[in-house]
Amino acid sequence: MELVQPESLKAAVECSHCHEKTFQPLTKNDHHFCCQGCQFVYELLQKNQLNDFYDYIPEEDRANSLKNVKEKKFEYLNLSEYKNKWLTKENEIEVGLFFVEGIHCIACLWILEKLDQLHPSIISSRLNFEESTLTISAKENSNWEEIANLIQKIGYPPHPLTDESDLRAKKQSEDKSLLIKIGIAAACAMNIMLYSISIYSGAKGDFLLKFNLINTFLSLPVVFFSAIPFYKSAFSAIKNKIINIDIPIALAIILGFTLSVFNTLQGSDQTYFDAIATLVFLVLFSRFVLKKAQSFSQRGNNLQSIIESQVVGKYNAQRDLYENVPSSTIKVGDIIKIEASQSIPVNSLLVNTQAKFQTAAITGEAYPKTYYKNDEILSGFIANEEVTLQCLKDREASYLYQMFRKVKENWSNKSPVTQLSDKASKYLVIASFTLALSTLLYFIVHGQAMVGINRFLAIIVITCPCALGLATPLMFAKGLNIATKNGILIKEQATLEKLSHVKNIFLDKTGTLTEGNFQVVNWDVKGRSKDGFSSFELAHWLQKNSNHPIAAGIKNYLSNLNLQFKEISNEVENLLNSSPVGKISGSIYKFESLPSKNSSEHPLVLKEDDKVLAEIILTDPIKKDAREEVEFLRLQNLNIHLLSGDTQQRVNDFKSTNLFNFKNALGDLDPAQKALYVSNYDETLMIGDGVNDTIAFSKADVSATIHGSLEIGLNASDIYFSKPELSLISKAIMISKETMKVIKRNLIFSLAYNIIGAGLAIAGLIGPLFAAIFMPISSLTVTLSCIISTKYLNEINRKETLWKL
Amino acid sequence: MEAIIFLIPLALILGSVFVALFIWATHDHQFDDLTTPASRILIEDKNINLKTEGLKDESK
Repeated sequence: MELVQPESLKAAVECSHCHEKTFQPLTKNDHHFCCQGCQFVYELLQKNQLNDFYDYIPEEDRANSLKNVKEKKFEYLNLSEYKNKWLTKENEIEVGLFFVEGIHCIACLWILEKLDQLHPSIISSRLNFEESTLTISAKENSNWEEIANLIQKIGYPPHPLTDESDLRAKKQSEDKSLLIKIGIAAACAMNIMLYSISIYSGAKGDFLLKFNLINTFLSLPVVFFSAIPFYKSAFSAIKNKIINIDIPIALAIILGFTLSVFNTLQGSDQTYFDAIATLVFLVLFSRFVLKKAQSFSQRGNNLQSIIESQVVGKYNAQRDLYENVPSSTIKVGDIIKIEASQSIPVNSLLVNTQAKFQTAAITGEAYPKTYYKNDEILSGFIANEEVTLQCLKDREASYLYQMFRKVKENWSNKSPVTQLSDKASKYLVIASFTLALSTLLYFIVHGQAMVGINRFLAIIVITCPCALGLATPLMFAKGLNIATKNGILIKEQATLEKLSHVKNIFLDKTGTLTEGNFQVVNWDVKGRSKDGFSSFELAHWLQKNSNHPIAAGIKNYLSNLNLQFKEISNEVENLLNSSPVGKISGSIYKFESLPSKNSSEHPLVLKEDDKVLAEIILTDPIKKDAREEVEFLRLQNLNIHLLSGDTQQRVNDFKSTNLFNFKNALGDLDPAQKALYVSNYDETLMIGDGVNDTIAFSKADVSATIHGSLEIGLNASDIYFSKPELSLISKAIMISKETMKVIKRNLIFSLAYNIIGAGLAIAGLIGPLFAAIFMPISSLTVTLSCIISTKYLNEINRKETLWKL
Repeated sequence: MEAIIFLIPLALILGSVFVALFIWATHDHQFDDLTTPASRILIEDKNINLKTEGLKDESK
């Protein structure tokens, strides 16, 4: 293999697969590729005549969605213990379920359902768009590692979903039974209406009795089948001595039905079959709508299992080697190996004589701390180098696991406004009960029991705070859904509410305002080290364990050169936020930054003591929409601050060359100083790339990661932007503000509705049937208000749907 | 008015047939995923055309 040595700045060419500009293309048969990943996918699709894929994918999404960035290992998928837990087997066919990242348009659907043409053992693959899950059926004893790698290489990082098959099946059967209950209630309600009309229009004698008997018969499935959820929930509420809105509904159904049957047998026309059936149908229906909107929380469960799907090396004594297993399977006493910049899954003892860990996420310390043999390492620490550990605790008892649990709980965690409306609806139920009972007593005392019962039913039904119960969760569900569709993953409802109050925004520079994707554009070799190592070998050795974006750029460059690298020595010091320093027989090797002529270029020199071995220029272009976005946010009366670990000089250059309008632009900050700065302000939003901003995140009201992996992002911050576009910041803020606006509208409407309704029912202007119709209609109005929501929300919701063709 | 004796049972029977059909469709997973099939139908499979039209396309 010949060495490709770029002489000077080459012109950038477009990658045939992802259309990203690259300075150092891999070229084959007139096609250019930015990396081996892209080349692999392109050739694979060509070979299998699947290049129609490129016709389906929207051009503006191409670079973002096809760029292959992640490399997760899936060896563990072939371990029999994991297979037994994960796969379902049916007639010699294995079925595996994945959550796939990055599903966004029809091209994704097209390619993912063609996997059977790309891998011989796959029989079929089906994608569920709403849940982003992919179900793959394959022949028995398939190589699932290969299958997962294939999906990853095409550009959709897969995450096997475990522990959840029971849960999913349960949820599906619940959905089904609710749907059937609604269908039956609707059919019965419509038929009952027909006979009720005859009764209202004056059917007498024999006809009256027969129509009422038919109605009794038609009400049976409604009262004894469709209404079961109300009885169950009311019963459990009474058992736990709490009040919920199902108590008045269940009471109204039972009381109304008994009374109607009694009156039917008496030959009277005072029956409420129509009211009961309509009530059951409409309330069930509005709950179904709510449930569908909240199916988002199903995604929350999926995210949970992604966070837990870390892979670690576990020592197998029988085979004397480390095998990659998911961290969920390790037990007390196991010896595990953790790679550099991976987090520690369970509390463990250090086996190495000494190692450094970043403890920022747990203790808030800014600098890596050194630990020695047999020290306890807490879960959530991040290893600075490859380390060997002995597990000390079970996963359930470890810090990180408890944090994950918290994330899961938080998903359904109620925001302040929801808690408020929950409380209000509780008091409303109590108030309406008292009101209805005293009205009933009043009429009984005055000898008009029938009128009393009539009004009692009407009051209970019409004041039922169903709409109030729907008003906030439904709109939150919609807001979160729209955010997800736009690539903004928000951890909990409360975050969405807090986001609408944000006044100060803090931005990181590298990776947030810039692409964070360093590319080597020039590598000028000046000489070899005194031990005869080339600058490439030294660079590989120094940057091997670093997770800085510059290091990633250098590593990527080196891997495209296709060289074989020897192990040099282990004496490399890795400091957070500064480049690594290495020692060989007394000489010190390190990278040093040089001042640059323009702000997107990063010149570096590789030095042996004072001798320059190579001059390297990397570029990290500023994001296309950066200036526009900052200006837009500023016009929204938000204060934008730039906090960077880069030098003040470079920060100033960056600000002036790009004409940014920051309130403050500070450089030379270490993570702790960033955090201190953020904590001086109120109503803050911190946006960074997740690795070294963890402490600042914890000091901000809302935190967001815009770059890097889903796992790290969701662990460290409240919001994860899944696309590297800055416009998502203003989108997120707008979504939150508009969502809160609709919630306020809903709350005012439903409160006003209940008060007016109660007044009319007491006065006897509204009978039970109208109450039964109006009450659910108020819920439907709130639902409708959520569907209509606002112009802005509808626009961005529509924009991001499937129909991108 | 005698017609009512036939019409009412007929209406009830017809109604229950549709309810039964609805229950069947629900158990048949027809309402499980409404988005994906709706977009799946939009995909025209050119590869199938290639196979049926034989070598026509390759000779170009």
